[in-house]
Amino acid sequence: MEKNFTQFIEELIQQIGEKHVYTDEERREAYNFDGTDYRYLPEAVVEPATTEQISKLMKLATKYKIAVIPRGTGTGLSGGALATNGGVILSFLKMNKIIEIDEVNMTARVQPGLINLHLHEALAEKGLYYPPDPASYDTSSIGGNIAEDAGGPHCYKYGTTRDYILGMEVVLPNGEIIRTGVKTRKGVVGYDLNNLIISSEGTLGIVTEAVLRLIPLPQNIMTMLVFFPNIENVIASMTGFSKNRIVPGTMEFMDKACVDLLRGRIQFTIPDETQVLMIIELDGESSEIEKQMETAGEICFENEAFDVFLADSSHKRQGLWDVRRSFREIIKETVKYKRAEDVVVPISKIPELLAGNYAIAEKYDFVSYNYGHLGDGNVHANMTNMVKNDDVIRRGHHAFKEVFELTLNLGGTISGEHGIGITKKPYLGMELSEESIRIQKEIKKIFDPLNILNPGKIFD
Amino acid sequence: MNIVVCAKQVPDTETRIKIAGDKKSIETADINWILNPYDEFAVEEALQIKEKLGAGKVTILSLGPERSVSAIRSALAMGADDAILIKTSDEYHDSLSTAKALAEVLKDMEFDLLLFGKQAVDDDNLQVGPMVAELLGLPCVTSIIELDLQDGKAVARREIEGGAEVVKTQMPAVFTADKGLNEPRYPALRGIMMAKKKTIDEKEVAIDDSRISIVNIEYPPSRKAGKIVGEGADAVPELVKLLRDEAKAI
Ligand SMILES: Cc1cc2nc3c(=O)[nH]c(=O)nc-3n(C[C@H](O)[C@H](O)[C@H](O)COP(=O)(O)OP(=O)(O)OC[C@H]3O[C@@H](n4cnc5c(N)ncnc54)[C@H](O)[C@@H]3O)c2cc1C
Repeated sequence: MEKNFTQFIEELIQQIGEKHVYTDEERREAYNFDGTDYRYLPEAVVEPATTEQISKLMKLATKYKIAVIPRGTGTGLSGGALATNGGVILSFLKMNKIIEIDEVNMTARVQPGLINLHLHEALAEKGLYYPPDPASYDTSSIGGNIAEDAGGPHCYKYGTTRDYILGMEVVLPNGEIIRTGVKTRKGVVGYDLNNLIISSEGTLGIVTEAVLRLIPLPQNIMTMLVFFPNIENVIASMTGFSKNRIVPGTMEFMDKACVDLLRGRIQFTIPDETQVLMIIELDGESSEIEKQMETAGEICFENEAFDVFLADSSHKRQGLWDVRRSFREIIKETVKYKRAEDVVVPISKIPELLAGNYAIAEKYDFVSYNYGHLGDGNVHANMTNMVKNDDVIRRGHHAFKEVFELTLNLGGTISGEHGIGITKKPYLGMELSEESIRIQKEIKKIFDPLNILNPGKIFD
Repeated sequence: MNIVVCAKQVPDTETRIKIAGDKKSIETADINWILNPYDEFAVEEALQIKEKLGAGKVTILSLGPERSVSAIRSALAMGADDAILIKTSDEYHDSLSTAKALAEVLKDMEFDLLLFGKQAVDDDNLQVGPMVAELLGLPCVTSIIELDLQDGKAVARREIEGGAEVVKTQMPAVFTADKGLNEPRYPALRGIMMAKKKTIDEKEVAIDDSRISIVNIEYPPSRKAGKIVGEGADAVPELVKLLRDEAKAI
């Protein structure tokens, strides 16, 4: 270890106690990864228990110019929590509590290390609901969700993480503690720093506490599995739903390639001509959603759906979601190379995006699997190959460059929820103008003039 | 082949059960009611047998209050042909009074096979199937995971401690279905719409007074808080001591 770093660690231990600071190989190894394939070994790991300790950490990091990388539970898919430039991983393992659930004001105050699922469970006990539910909700942290503005299946109806964060306590890179946003249901005082910090991928400030907006837990859920002959019919059905004032809680889709992979591996007999499989969920009062389910089903049939199956109990619903989840496992066993990016286009443009992805896949000799949150226009575009080598990886890069070009031409955006981190950094300029990037870099400088908080993420 | 499946409506397995003020019952206001999952296996088995033989009839028989209709409709939506509801009040009926009422209706019905779920997941008594078999003087095989019918005989497989047991019986007979027997189908929307149009035969049966009554319902004890002995290697001896002497875990 370098002398400067050794001194930093010594002083840190003095100030926050040795049980919060780790430099042993084992602990560092345990924090060398996230949801991407990259690995970077940090020089140290800090697991603080209080905001004050984080403030002290940042003051020392400022003094010694040490990089600090906030890390939730490391499920991020763009490399945001990786120690790409060495430095210290800041883990929220010991700050994972629900501080308070306020049933009158319908808010909750939580620490950033709290696992999304644990929040859902605690709220359900009280009949309350925090909708944002990334597919990783059983493992990802609220802090990570905030830093990426995580979305999920239920965000079509309810909005993303951003829509449920009323206010936060934030430690700035210089160690100062500020509050952003409000603790009330609304508020407009000053610039909206709250929304600036949300989805800033841990580059502007460290979220140490969040005040969440809650809603009542829907009484019941009904889930439908629908087989469609093509994507155009799905989109026509969606329009039909809104004309009939039906807003499904979720609208998840899988394309033909996914369906073909699942065929014979799941309980359902999938009609041969199926091009799209949909999981549509309705939530609300039982009496209401039963009627909606019938109407929605009829609309699907009017749009040439082959079959509509229904789960009206939680164990059957689980079975339908297993169809979606099993895909992840099956594809892992099937292909050697797989790269996925989460692009978003206006819903009406999804057919064009899919057609484009298939053409690009053919050009670069990939098989393209597409699935995602259809209601949001959020497509997880996968390029896969039976072998993985440098050439395949390079072709993947070119293929995705074309996918992003297409996405942008269709009026879309290159990331709906996974963020830029390091993986999408090379493509940032495709979407943002030079002037926009310049302003953003200036903002970063105001917050973090020494570039010590999660450096090298989003842009250099 | 005539098959009767006895089925019960129960709270969804994810329901957060709230004990009512009398401490003897549960609050039913917010409950989502479903077809008992083990009865689903029984319904599925009946449908598969009928489909294999290309002939026959599957009848659902349920005892319960008016709301039970929705569980019956789920079974009809899966493909059952007919349904009978023995309508009761909302109060508690013990296993024997339930079995007697079911037997009362069953004794006038013609069937080759009588299926139950091995238990209802609400009160977990595992009694009604065997009791009905006894009242009707029929052989009863419980907790089956495979059923094979040939020449008027039934061969069933049951999971037992450390292995499996294969049993053979005359028909008619009573079987109670365990998990693993099959994978219950999902009702298709068309089936649900058709099920709505079917009439459910409602029967009035005098139900015996329960000889068992629930005295008290309580929540499971909340878990005791954990104990932090210390940190690092120094704490290990104390931890081992507590694990041995207090928790008796080692
Ligand atoms: C199987 C799987 C499914 C997924 N599905 C979805 C999905 O449906 N929707 C979706 O949006 N994402 C999804 N993701 C991506 C990922 O789970 C989310 O981005 C999640 O929000 C990351 O949370 P985390 O706690 O793992 O954060 P990490 O990966 O640990 O960190 C992510 C970023 O947040 C920053 N950060 C973490 N905590 C803080 C804090 N307290 N203050 C400041 N910055 C912080 C880090 O510096 C980093 O930049 C999925 C990932 C996996 C592996």
